[in-house]
Amino acid sequence: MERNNSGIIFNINIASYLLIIFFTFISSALSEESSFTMDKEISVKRETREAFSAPIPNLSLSKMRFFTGGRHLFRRSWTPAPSSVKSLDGLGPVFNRVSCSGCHVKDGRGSPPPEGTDKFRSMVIKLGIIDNNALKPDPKYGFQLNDKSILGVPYEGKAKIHYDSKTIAFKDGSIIKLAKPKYSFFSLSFGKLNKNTKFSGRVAPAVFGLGLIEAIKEQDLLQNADPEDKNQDGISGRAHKIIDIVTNTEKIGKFGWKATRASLLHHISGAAFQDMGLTSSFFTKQNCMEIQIKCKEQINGGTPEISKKQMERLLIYMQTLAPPKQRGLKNDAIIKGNNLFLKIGCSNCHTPVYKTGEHKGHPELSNKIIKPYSDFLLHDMGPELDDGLIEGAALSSEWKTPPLWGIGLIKVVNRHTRFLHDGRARSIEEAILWHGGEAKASRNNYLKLKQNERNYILKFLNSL
Amino acid sequence: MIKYIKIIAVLLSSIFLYHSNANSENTKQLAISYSQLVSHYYKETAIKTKAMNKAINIFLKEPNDNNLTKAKDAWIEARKVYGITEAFRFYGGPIDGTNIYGEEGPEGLINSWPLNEAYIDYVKGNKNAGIINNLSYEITKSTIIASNQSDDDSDVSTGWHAIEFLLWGQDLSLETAGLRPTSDYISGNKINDRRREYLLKTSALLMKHIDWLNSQWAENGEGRKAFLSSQDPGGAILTGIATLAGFELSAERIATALDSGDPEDEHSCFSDQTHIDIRANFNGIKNVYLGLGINGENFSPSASNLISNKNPTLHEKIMNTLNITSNNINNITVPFDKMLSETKNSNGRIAAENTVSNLIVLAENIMQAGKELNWNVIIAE
Repeated sequence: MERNNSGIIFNINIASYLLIIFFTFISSALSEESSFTMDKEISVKRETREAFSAPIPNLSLSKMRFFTGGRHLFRRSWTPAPSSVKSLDGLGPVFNRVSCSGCHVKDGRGSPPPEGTDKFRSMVIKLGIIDNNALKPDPKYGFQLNDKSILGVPYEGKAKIHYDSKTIAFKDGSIIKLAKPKYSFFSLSFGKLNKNTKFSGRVAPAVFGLGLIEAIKEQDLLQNADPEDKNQDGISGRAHKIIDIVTNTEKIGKFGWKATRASLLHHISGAAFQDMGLTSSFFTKQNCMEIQIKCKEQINGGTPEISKKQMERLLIYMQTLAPPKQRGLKNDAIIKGNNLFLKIGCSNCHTPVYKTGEHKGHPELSNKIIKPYSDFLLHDMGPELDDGLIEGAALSSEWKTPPLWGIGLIKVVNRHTRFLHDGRARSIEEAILWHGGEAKASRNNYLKLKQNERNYILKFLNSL
Repeated sequence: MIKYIKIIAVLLSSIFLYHSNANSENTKQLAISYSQLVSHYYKETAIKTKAMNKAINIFLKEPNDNNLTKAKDAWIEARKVYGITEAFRFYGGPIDGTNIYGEEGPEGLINSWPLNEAYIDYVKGNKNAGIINNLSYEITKSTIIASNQSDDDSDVSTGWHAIEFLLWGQDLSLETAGLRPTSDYISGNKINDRRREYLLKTSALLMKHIDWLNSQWAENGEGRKAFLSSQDPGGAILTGIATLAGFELSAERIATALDSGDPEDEHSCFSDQTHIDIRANFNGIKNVYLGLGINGENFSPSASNLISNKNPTLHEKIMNTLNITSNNINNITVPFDKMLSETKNSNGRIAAENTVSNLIVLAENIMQAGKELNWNVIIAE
């Protein structure tokens, strides 16, 4: 009897101990949920050069071969037509790179060429003339400078970037130097650019998480839009409404530095056409301006050069690359940084959380909690980032809030820390300091922070 | 009433405690035997890679056809074992994870693929291509490492396939492998001397990286310690083989080549040894599951022991799928590039398609096994 009793007491102790563990577990699960970590089915934990290259974990095994088939096309070099490998010919005649991964190395982010050189490896220069509030091509060079060409065809021209130094002071007295780009063009095969041509440097963005962005509901974006700034917080934010040529309906643009495209299929077709000279169902004519006779004389690599089947695979690859999970959720400095990020107003545009809607192609992407840190809206970013080039209804000073997920892994994956659309910022901090216009108040708040507080914010951003 | 609830709670908790203890004790033993198995295979790979490096050195000392063949044979032998070790990838271990010092595993420097051969040396249509012909490029171990996938994912500068290309050359025919002439390595002209240097350095680098893996998993190695103290070693073990089966081997290496149909899309395209690669990867999956060493040594308990205890039917299913897949692989016709060029209903292609489907079934079975044992198995994370 004695023994039995003590046995029960002992076991009751264990039971209550278990109950405590159980409740601790429940409460920690709840607090995690309240901070909305990304759903584990669609995000991955990797901190290597392969951090951006994994498929979403819940991708069905029967789709894996389409994913890897797409990856294969993403990495393979295209060759001039005609070539022994028929499926991969049709490069150019003028182009910037011979493969997708040439710019989006390891599915990551591009960077500008070394200062004063023409080695544009993962960056392009967009061109155009503004005519009646619409963008028209430069008459000789079109919408983008193609600095390479196939044999027997002149490339369009070369460019280089120099930087002017600009000093900014923090409130605590410390200073930082920023670099403002200055472009110059040379070896132009058909003479000077038109005197009215504007130009805009664009680095290649990282390409993971795009299917999830596609699945974000339009109503969730419109909820954040405030084009007339009715709440008078100095931030307007407007959705870039465009006619989507895939569905032929009006939609909100989500892709591109100025949110010019709503469908990922249209977006990647555009990149293949502009950057590699590949025709597809949406871009059927070769990328040659009237004056470029040699370019126009070349035979093509099929009509279109990227077959529908190939494009489908590329699309699946782009749609199902998974975003990386945030690291260090329980780290004290990162938590402080997160709070400061909210406090100084960064999250007014870098919207942390969404629940995706239905994704037509891949139910794996539907109804998932994601943390892209963007409102995908256009904002006036001030005169410093205004390069004079408009796109669609986006003014030259307006840029889409770029997502911040994965920003801390760029240094691992791409071995650089160049940020903003033209890669002028040499660190995350420099990128913050270039914010102007609607983001000026937040930038000024950042300048007022103490060194340790600024470090918390940077630690937080590096954990994304 | 409260008394009854207490009793139920007590009973439930003791059952729970008993089970989780038994389960975690078995898993702990499995983690130990698995570590020994991994160490066993990396040790063997290190020996074979050293032999390859030696054969390459002999070839460079006396470049003749016979020594070139010996160097190629040594590459094939080393690769047979390395392919097995690919079952130890995909869970953030020493090969492809980041350790506590923030150092990244050497996988990208060992086995990157596909490889754009024009990045390294001359190709048909461009005799001046590549690093070897670029006289302003200083060939050192560190420049070679820095160049690996620096501008493009296909710009692979080092590892198995770089050495393969340096030994065999481009494969321009469906009847033979690449036919690089021995004369490419006769010293005395500038380019040949650079090619000799390049082969020497990439071979030494590969040996160094394999040695590092070997030391990571050795008895008191950092990698082994980290693995043994990790939260879910069982999940890691099964994630490795499930991902190799359901993603890397089936989709990336076989299905993608079948779908593109381009003979150059086979995994070891210069040497025509893709069939050996497939077999080696498959052996990796099987040997991890069964706890088998290179000469049939037993590393127990194995994952299969734990699974057959828990769910004998599932274990039988896995064994059955392993057997069918093994037969499918035997029926893939050789060389792989020739099979790719054949029509959809050719015997070789059908066998390759069956291999893909059964590898997927195998991966699904392994994921199911993870569920039964309460281990987290995620493909390709």
